[in-house]
Order: sequence, then structure tokens, then C-alpha cells
Amino acid sequence: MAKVYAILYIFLEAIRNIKSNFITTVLTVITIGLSLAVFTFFVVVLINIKGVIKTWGEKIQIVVYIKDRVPYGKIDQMAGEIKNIAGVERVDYVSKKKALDILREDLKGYKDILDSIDSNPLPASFEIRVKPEYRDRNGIDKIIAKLRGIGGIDDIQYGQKWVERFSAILRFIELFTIVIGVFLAAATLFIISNTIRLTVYARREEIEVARLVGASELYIKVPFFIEGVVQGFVGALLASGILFFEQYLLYKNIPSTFASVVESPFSFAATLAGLTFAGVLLGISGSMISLGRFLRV
Amino acid sequence: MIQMFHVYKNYEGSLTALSDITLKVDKGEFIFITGPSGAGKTTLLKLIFGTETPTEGQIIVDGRNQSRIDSKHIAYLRKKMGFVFQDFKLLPKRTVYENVALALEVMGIPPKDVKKSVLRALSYVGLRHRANYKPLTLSGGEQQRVAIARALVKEPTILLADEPTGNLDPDLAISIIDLFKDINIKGTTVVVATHDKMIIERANKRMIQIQRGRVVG
Repeated sequence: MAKVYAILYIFLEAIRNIKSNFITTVLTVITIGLSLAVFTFFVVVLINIKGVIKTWGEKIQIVVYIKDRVPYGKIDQMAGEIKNIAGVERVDYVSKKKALDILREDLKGYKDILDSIDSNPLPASFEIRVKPEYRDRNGIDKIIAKLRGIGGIDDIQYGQKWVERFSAILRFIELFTIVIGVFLAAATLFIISNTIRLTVYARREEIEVARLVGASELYIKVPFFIEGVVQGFVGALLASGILFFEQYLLYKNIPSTFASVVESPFSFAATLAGLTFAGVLLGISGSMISLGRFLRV
Repeated sequence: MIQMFHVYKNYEGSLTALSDITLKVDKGEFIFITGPSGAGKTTLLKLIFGTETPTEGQIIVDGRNQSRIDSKHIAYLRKKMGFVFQDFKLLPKRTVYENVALALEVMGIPPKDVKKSVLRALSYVGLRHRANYKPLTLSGGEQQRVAIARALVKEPTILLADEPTGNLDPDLAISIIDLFKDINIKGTTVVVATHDKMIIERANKRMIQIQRGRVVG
């Protein structure tokens, strides 16, 4: 029976603590809320930037020029062989005539230049789209090595510089995301644990007295644990509110082309669940770490 | 009830607070520990209470060895020991009632019984009418009595008091000692540390005198 009442007193103690330290509780909640909101905002922006950059990768393609006088049947066979190479997403055949048409289209207004040519000097070609996982230097090299084994090919071209730049940018963004993520997470943890440490420090007298009148460690720890959960939970709600409001404001005020950068890739429910989990975890760990130092009475 | 065998206590920096203390307090006894300031009285009480551990020697309180006891048993033992601190150690944000009730709440006593016991203890020290006051609005003597009520409310088997009459006028000091005597008659072992000679003479109880960390009489 004493256990039941002990649990009751522990809950009463937690409520009493929140009430009598209302201002510090509110400050802790605000700290958790703001930190989580800032962290989430940056993660969303970085994920989106990475997404945008990944779509640039679709421009990576290999062009295979076919030797003149290769018969049609042979071209079909070549297309089939190319399609079978690992990493090839799509193969498009561009005939000599089509190549000339494209050039004509591109050189509109300079019609005279082309009119002076009798025969078609352009070669037929294959345009090869590469699968996303092959869109880097290594992947392209592998495909090209295979292409070289196919007969009837005159020349192979791909935007080598572009591929290299693209993989460099992608690597940089990935690294940047990790570094910023780690920094922000560390800063968030530091701020929150310090805020909680200050509130615990302000209450070291209560902890000491409770110890001296015979309170068990659980009796002292559990109220702080409960407070940590409450602060983390309310802080997470605050963070969700801030993010929701921020999205609303940005949508209203910025051009839609940029909106995709701040648009959250997570659903509202997922965001809320994630933030709640993170907030509660932060609240609890902050309380427990800070408390550990004051329990040795 | 309390036994000490060749107890030494050194603080960091090789300051010796107590050396070679051997003493015995029987169940139901009332003793004074006396000596000048800095003699080691407070350290002696803290060792019995378990907030300090001896550097050397054995301390047995109520059949348990304090020198190798874990924090769980310390909490258990403190529930049976009342301590009146020299600086009271009352919580300023809580009322007199809440301060006294804390000692019972940590033991998981039902709220109904807590109320009864707290009001009884407050009446006993003459502060029932101050139940809803905050400690800092009370006089020093009243705060002292709140601290005593908190130590008594759990009906401890041992009551330790550190300079309980330190800042009281003589009449109040006598009434506090009378309170302790009354508790003692009801069966609680009482250990009072004081340098107030007048009190000791009036009370006519056993006295252990310590000087510079040693028992001298």
C-alpha cells in the first residue's frame, strides 16, 4: 500500500515542481521548441536541396556515334547490346536525317550555312540515359568500357566535366548535410541540457532536503523524469506549431519555384511524431544527466 | 543503539576532524555531545546519520554498519532517524505544513495519516497556527521548532540535534530541551550536540565532551 501512495506523492511532487518553477519550466519548453524547430527546418532545407541537385543528374547522358554505312539490321543489334549493359536506363536512336533536322532547328536564322552543304555530314548516333546509381565517374566509366566492346561504333562522348562536377557537388552536399546536422544536433543538445541543468541547480536545495529526510533515489528522480517528459512533449508541440506557421508564411510570400526548397518531405503526422519522440527523449536525457550530479548528498 | 569503534574522520587536505572515537549510546538514552566550536560535534552527528562516512573505524546504528552501507539502506535508515539541522534546512517555497509533511510523504504514508501526524507534530511544538506560513516569515525560534516537528513527525527511533538552541533566548532554549526530554521519555534515543553549558547542567543527562576531535570526558 505504501508503494501506491509513494507513486501518488511522486506525481504530486512533479505537479508541484512544475507549478512552483513555472517560469523556468516555460523557458525550458521554449528552448526545446525553438531548438527542435531550427534543427528540423535546416534538415528539411538540406534534404530538399539534395533532391533538387539529384534531378540535375538526369542530364547525364552518353552519346555513341555510329560509323557510316553500318546496315540497319546491325543498328538494331547494337541497340539491343547497349540496352543489355548494366546501368543503361534508356537508348534512343538518332538517325543521320534526324540529327540534321535537330541541327537545322538549332541553327534557325543561319539557314544559309546548311543550304550550302550537299550531303549530310552528321553521323547517326545512340543517346544513352544512365540509371541514377551509375551517374558518377565510376559508373560512367564502367558503361563506356562495355560500349567499347561493341562493333560499329565510331566515337563515344559524354559530358566528362559535367559528370565530375555533378558528383563533386553531390558529395559536398552530402558531407555538408552531415556536418551541419551533427553541429546542430550537438548545439541543440548542449542548449537543452544546460537549460535543464540550471533548473536542477536552482532546486538542489530541495533535492538535498528530500535526501536528508529519507527520500529514496527514485522519489527524487521520477518527478524530474516526469517533468522532462512534459517539457519535451510541450516543446515538441511548440516546434510543430512554429514549423507549421513558418511553412504557411513562406508559401504566402515566396515564388513557387523556391517553395519546393522549404516544403517538408515528411507528412504532418510524421513530423509531429518525430518531434514528439525527439522532444521527450531530449527532456528525459537532459533531466537525468543534469540530476546525476546533484544526487550525491 | 549507536556504537562507534575507533572512528577516524579526515577531510581532504589532511584536516583531522575526529580521531579514535569510541562510544556507545544505549537504546532510550539521552546524551549531550559538547565541546567548543570546531571540536567535531557536527561531524560526529553526520557520521551517525550517514551523510559522512568514516575514514577508519566502524559505526553501528540500530544493528547496521554505517561504514559499508549503500544508498538504498541509508534512505531506509534515515526514515528511522530524525535530524534537526543547525541551519534548519527548511524549504522556503513550501509552507510549514508541507515542510513537515515531506518527511512522511517520502515514506509513502497515506495522505489521511500524513495530515493527522503533521498537525499533531505542529501542535506539539506549538506551531499549529503557523501551518500555512512560509518558513521565512517566521522567527528563528519558530523555524527551529518547524525543523524539530519535521524530525519528530515520523516518530524516529533516534533523534539527532545539532545546536538546537544555538540562536534562541534562554527560556525558549529550555522549552526546546524539555520537548526533547518528553520525546525521550516516550522511548526515542536522543543525541544533542551543543556548547550551551546552561542547558546541559539543567538537563542533568550523560555528557560526552570532545575537544579537537578526541573524546576528553
